[in-house]
Amino acid sequence: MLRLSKKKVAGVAALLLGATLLPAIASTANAATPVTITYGMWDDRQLPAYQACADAFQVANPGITIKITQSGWSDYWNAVTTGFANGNGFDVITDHLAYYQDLVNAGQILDLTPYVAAAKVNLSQYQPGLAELWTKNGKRYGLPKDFDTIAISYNSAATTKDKITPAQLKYITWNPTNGGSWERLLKTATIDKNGHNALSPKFDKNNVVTYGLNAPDKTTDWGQTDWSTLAVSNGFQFLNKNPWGNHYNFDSPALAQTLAWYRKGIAGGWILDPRNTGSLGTPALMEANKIVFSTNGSWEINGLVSAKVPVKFAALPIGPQGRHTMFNGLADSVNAATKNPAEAVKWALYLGSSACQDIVAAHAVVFPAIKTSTVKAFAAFKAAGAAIDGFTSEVNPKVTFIPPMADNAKDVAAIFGPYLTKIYFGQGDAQTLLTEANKQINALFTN
Amino acid sequence: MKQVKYGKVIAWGFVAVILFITLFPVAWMLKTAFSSNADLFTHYSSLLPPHWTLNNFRRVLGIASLKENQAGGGSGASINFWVYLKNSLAFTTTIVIFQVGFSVLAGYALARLKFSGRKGIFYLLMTGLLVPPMFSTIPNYGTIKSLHLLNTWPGLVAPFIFGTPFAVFYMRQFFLSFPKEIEEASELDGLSTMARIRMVVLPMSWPPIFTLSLIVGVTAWNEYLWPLIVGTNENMRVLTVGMGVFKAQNPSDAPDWGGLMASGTLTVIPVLIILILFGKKMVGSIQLTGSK
Amino acid sequence: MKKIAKRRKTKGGYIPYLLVLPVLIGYFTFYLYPMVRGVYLSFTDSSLLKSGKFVGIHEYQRLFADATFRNAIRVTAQYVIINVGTQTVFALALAVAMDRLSKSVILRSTLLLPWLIPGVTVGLLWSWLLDPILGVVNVLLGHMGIHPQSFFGSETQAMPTIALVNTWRYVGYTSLLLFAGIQMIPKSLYEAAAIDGANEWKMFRKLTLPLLRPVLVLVMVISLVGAFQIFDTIAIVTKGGPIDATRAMNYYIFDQVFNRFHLGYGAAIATILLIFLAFISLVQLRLARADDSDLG
Repeated sequence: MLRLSKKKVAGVAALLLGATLLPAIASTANAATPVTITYGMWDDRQLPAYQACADAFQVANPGITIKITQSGWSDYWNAVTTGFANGNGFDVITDHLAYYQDLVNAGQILDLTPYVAAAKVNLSQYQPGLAELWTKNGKRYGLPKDFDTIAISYNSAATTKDKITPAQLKYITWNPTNGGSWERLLKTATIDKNGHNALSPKFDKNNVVTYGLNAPDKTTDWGQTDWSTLAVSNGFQFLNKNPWGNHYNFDSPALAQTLAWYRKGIAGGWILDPRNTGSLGTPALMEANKIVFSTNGSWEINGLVSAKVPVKFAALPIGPQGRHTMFNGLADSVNAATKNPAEAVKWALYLGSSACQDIVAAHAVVFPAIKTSTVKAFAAFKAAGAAIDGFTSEVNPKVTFIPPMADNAKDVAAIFGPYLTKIYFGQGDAQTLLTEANKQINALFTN
Repeated sequence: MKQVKYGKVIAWGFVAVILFITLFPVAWMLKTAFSSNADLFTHYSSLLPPHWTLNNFRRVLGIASLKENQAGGGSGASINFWVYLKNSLAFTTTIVIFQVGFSVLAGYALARLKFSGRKGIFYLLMTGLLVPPMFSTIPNYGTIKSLHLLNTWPGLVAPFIFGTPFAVFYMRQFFLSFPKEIEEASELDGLSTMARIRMVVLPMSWPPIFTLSLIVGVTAWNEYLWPLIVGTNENMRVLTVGMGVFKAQNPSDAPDWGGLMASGTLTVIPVLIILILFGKKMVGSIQLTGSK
Repeated sequence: MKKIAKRRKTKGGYIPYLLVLPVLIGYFTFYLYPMVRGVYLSFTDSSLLKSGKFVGIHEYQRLFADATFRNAIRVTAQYVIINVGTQTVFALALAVAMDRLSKSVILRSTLLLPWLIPGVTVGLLWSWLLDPILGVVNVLLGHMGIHPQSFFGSETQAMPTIALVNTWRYVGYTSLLLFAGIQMIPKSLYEAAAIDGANEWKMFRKLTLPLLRPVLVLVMVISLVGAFQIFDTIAIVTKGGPIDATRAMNYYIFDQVFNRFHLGYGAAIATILLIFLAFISLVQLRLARADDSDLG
């Protein structure tokens, strides 16, 4: 027994030793090659734009090679977290507000303050509000690269058929009591199988063929594309202080009224029930003539304009306290454990500069964060035939508000989600459920 | 006689219903693979493609131009189908050979050879069945990383080649069903253990071994999470990971249905071929006429 | 007695140990080490991205006060009962049918098709077939006068739907395992029974079922353990929703560890799941006397 197993053990050990030595031999042979910086991103539509940035960067910096890896949203974050947990993640990552504080709290992200100061980056070149999002306790963890706003998208062939005029779509009003002109429009666009719309007394809400409004996202604690715009225009504020507050206000009556209005629409048959949406997305539902109106983010523009029905955009409804849209922005963060901090930071700073953001603007896939680049992007979208005034008219500090930034973001989302679903499913009164959720959420901050 | 016929009709009816339920979704998958993404929602209830197209397959195989790619609703990402296919074949074959090999030996020992600690070892191995695969991923990743085997073939196949609790369990149960008389006869003939395994047991165990090979093979072929995080380099990517490009890339997007179903179809075909070719062997009839 | 036993031990010698060695190496490295590490982590407050400190049973105390955890147990049980119940019954019926009705390889290969399709494709395919608005199943139901069902979108239908989708996926494969087992039963026994006048059902009950026992136990244990660990369909289609209707144990672990980064807490849940699975597996193996075979 001992003899044979020794041989086997020796054989395995030799194999492993060989495998260990191989990379060492390979790397000494490549001692003179350029530094490679790995960069991760998830949006495939933006890949050509950032590859173009990488190409330009490599020309300007011959000693550095940029290797971009793009994978779908969930695969991407799996790769990022696994990589960080094992100390070999991407050198630079496309960061997102929902994830970045956990990464900061774990010490995984590099503080860019000294580098930004040394490079004399002009922070006022960015759209107001974006740069502050990426700082915590005086340290900076990313430079803004893009932003998005929300707007109404609608099937213009359907609205024409429903005799909705462009004037009606220019100034839409909303209030929690009677829904304003927004509710009227939605009801006009809702058609049952007998051809009656939801304003008619003969409307059959159990046999709706086309719904006025797309279903709201049933688990979101940001409400980015749906309830946040109405709730904030109703006076709702997410936190006691934003960014970096420590007390949520989900029990605010302003929010309860907003969600109750959504529930009214779902029960009334003119808002699509979130029970009945799968993974098909807005363009699919519009193409199948199941919905007429929807509220979408500017990152969805290309998907919507390439739908088989003529999709147009309008600015969001004006609520009791005006028109408001959530204003989210991505940034690029540097891995604190990167083996090449100087080069990685160089790439990150380049991504936050107009040199790169002008290239991205020309591809018309996203709104870059630098004000001058944003203008170029708007022009590029127009040239590509997308009429996006609905989105662009909202880029105004009086209209935009930032997402809730606080610790425990993932836990807050996990707690809030089911409660929101219960409200939309009609399993309880909005105010009661929100108060309960809010209590659990704020308990996270007192521990 | 009538009773037998009646029973046979019911039995066939049952099989027919099962076949329909089994095949309808597969047919739908094929129909989507041959439809253009543009038609999918405007004709969402049609049972046949409104306009037959090979565009999805061309995109999956990486032979469509960038324009065709984006017109078909795909992303601009490049797909090295043949490289991924080659990697999947190598990955699967390696795992099948080693995992089945080691598991057969261990399964036989645990079923038929008497040695101290046999029961203990068996129960110990069975506890491995209880570990949620997703939970062992991070520690295993750490192990492979500390051995500097990330993005290498040994690292990619390591957790799978040493035999698995399932495979050992499977072979052990089959060897328990193996008639003892034949083995005892060969023992009386003076054969050593290893010779007995080679010349008597193995030849008569081809059906379960082939079946196990198929199971191990299909499982390895469809493996996703481990190759995703260990085989990140383009030249080490396997088919399932490469085809992930057709899933929704953004949280609010829909998947690229045409590409997804086409890639699903292409992923199934190699396995299906092997199944048809070797199907007979797997469940060949063993007429055991050994009597007391 | 002792003398004879000793002789047998040295006679077998080192060969059995050699035969199980590779499997043991794999087990210790890739199964036992993660398990032990997982149990250790459950006594810490580690995050996925940062190691934590030892906190004793603090995570377990949180666990027992966690309503979502209790919900996870409930919905997992619901899944297991529906899935294993339907899968085993149908697989057994199919295996016998394949043995007695037709030996066609085409038939067997066809039944295996669902199992060959990658998990991601299966999940997305069914989410589309069963889409409440655009899915063809609801269109067909509509033709039959039935109101469209929400399936994955309904808090009451979601888990049963996931269970049945997985039955669809694995029934062919399970019946293959059972079929191979039936093949090991000598045909001579069936011939003898037929001569004695036994009908199909009697032969099944008195011959097939008992002789299939080791393989049946294998299938039941694998199915049961696998069902308790259901994950990928949930991750692709419902992600634990709607509300918490499909937040089964394994998915809840994933949720805590990879979404919320609570590694210590997730490890505690996983340890509880592990202990529970060990318990039922042991009970099953004992009850079914899996070590014996009625044949030899």
